Amino acid sequence: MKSFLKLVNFELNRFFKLYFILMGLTIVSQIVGAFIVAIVYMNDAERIIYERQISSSQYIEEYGVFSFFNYFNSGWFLMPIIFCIALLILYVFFIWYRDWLGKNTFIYRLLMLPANRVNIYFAKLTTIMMLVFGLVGLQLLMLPVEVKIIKSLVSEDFQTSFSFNEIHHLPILSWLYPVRFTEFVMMYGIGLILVAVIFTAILFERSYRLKGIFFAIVYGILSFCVFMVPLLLNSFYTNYFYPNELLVLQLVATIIVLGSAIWIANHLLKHKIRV
Amino acid sequence: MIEVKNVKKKYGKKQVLSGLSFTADKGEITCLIGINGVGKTTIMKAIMALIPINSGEILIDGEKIRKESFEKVTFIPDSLAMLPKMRIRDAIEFMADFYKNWNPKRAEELMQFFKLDTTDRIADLSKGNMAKVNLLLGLALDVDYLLMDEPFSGIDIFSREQIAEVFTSHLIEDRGVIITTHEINDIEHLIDKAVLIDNGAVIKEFRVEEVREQEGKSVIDIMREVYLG
Amino acid sequence: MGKYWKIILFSAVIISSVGGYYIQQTMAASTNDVSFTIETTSGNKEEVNNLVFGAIYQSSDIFREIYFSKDGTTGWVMNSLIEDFLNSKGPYVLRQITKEHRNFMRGKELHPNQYFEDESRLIYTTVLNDSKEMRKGESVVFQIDILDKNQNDSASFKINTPNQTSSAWLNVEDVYVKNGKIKLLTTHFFENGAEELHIYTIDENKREFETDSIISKSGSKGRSINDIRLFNDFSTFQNEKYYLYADHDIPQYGNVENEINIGNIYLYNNSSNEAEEWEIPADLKPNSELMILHGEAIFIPVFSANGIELHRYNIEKKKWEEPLSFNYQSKFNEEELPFLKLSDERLYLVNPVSDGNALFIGDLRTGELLYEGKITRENSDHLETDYSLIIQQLYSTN
Repeated sequence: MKSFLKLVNFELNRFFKLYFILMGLTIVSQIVGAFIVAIVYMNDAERIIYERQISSSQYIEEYGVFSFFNYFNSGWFLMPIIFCIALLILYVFFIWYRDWLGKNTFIYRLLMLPANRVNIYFAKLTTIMMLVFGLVGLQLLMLPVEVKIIKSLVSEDFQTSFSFNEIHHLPILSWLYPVRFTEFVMMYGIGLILVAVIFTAILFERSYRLKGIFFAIVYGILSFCVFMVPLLLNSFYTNYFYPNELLVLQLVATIIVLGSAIWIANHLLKHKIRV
Repeated sequence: MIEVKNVKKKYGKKQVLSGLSFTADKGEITCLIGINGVGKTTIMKAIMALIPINSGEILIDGEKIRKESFEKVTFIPDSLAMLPKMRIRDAIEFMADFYKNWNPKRAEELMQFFKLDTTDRIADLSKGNMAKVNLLLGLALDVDYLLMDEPFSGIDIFSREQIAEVFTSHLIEDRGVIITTHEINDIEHLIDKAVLIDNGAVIKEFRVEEVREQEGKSVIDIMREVYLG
Repeated sequence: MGKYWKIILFSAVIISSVGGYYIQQTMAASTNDVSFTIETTSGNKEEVNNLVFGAIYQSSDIFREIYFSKDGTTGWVMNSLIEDFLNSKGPYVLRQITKEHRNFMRGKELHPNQYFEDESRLIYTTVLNDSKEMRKGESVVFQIDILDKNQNDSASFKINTPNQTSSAWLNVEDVYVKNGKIKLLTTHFFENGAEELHIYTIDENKREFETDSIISKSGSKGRSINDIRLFNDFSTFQNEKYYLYADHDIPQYGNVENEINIGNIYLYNNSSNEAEEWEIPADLKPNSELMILHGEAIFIPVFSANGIELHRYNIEKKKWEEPLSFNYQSKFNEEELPFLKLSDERLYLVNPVSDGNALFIGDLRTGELLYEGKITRENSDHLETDYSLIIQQLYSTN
């Protein structure tokens, strides 16, 4: 629908400035970190080799080769990721509340658009997902660059190889990039549902204010329980359900949770929302 | 015609609207009059489905509000309904993008009439100019009905005169307008129908011309009678 | 459309980076695929047609459970969680009956020991008590489910046994069904490590408990713990004519080499319901741990660098028959005994050699070597040279 696309475009444009800063921060921190970690390693190695008058291979025997984990475990690499994740989590809430804040009554404008109000919900949801995927993609593009920088700074003898299959051994990244594409879809699918449920909970609060917080919490817990039903069924009646039946059950549970989040959001936006 | 039928609304324990009923016709300016907190802004928001109502019915040209209705009726609230960081031209672009019935020529006309500059950021404008932008964003839509909440509040006298001018111009002509205001003096001569509200209900609904001719009373006279008498 | 360029560019970057990453992953993965083939050295190729081997593959830090046959290898590809989840696990025979009798098999424990099958029915037994209750001394309750394969309906009933027991838990080792009687061979495990072998007899038609006889008790002597070892292969659903079992010492401290841990050996006859002691010849005693009861004979394998000598004792005739010799040249490593399986009158032997695993198939009746071949790893240039393949199970798909 055209209104949906226009709203997505609008929401993304609103955030782009901050987003570019986030991306810039990540790039700078990680690139600088790559240089620093590699240079520091080489300096340390050279210093010890000189001071103790040992050969490179002796050094390697005692201290080991350079491991890429030094870099991927460092603050230079991890802190921007954590920061971006934290900021995006905050924005999941802020993307709604910013339209109500203080003198800002932009929510009036959104609610009076000649389109189904649920488009607002879908647009904000899509925006969040795109922001997440954008950073995910950025990191993927950065990795070979960072590896190249380090490889060029650390001399041959001290190097180990690094292949991208080893991503699953790294902290945080192993979660962001599951081994198989089906798992990627599952992980981020669950993320999407979580954001959808949070959005609907926010709409409960915006529709009923104080009572709404209570509704929001009850709704959240209910959604969680429905989602977990297949898992719970399986733990109580182990082996009663065959794997493919459990999978179908889980799919149904997922559809129920996502479907009800959307349906409730639509209902709240149409009939219960309060500016 | 916009019909408000017996609308009730409670905020917590407070009954803000207690069975409010009135009608506003196309081609007429209807003014909702009442002291602060009596429910004027509330009913306008209710007409635009910006707040839910507990009971009653609101019909726009005989039907309940739908998404298409927002091309027929627009609301100009007393606060800015656009992002303050935007420049005026960004706001105009936004409206043009989302509304089929955005009239760019009229927008241009209003820009010149109000002497505004498209490159100004909305947040940097004076209160008067901000109100004018607000008005512009509503008036440049080819809608049948305009709802304006306190268009004159906190505005300097010259801006007020400019805004009042708009009412007599072709910009309003065939449209139906519902307006709330304290400054009854400024527009008494413009309104067609007055709706006096107290405690969330309509106390008196009358045609201004008729009352002036038949009883020789002005709106303020009637108000005195009703509220103080 | 012009003002959408930002989103379009953004989406394109996302799709190409994430998509590219996963495409590259799948391509990289396949070059590292591991698969095995069976090359025939001599003998009848048809012997390997329906064989499926289950094995553990180990190489540097990779440890994977795989299945392979002459047609290909499965279980290698790093399946997604969903594929792993969907693939049935467990012994092959159980996967087959689960497919055929989905409803009956719901929620049942997947140990072949607990099942019996003939042309008309499938019988399943399980112990209903949980260990907490058992330790308090309550009596054993069995649940028996019988599926009538012809009528396709099932019945389920509980059997309460009268005798209280102080065991901590028990295992059903075998189900023997004949002449309207269901006999359950069960091992009772006690907290102090001791074990008992019981045979519970249940009347199938009256659905009543009949007898509980203890056919063997182990004890704990001093520093060592005894258990009772069973030498049958219970992975089929058919009746076992005999049970072969023995006292088994598990020394606690310090393992003296060549210490023989098998004590008295017994043979239980399921037709006569009687157990008698069985003597193992002195020269074969060192190999007593490797005894196998198969069909109506007791087999004792003796491995050497020249091959395997399979001594056999015919239980009916109560005499030792001519040992079967299968000769092959191979490393003999006492630590890593070859995989040996006796099934369907065949002997299957897999022995690690320098460039793979040697496979031998012999005829148990004639002593003839029917097949000799080698299991080798394909695609070896891309992979680490050192690996180990340990065969765990072997079954036939016909």
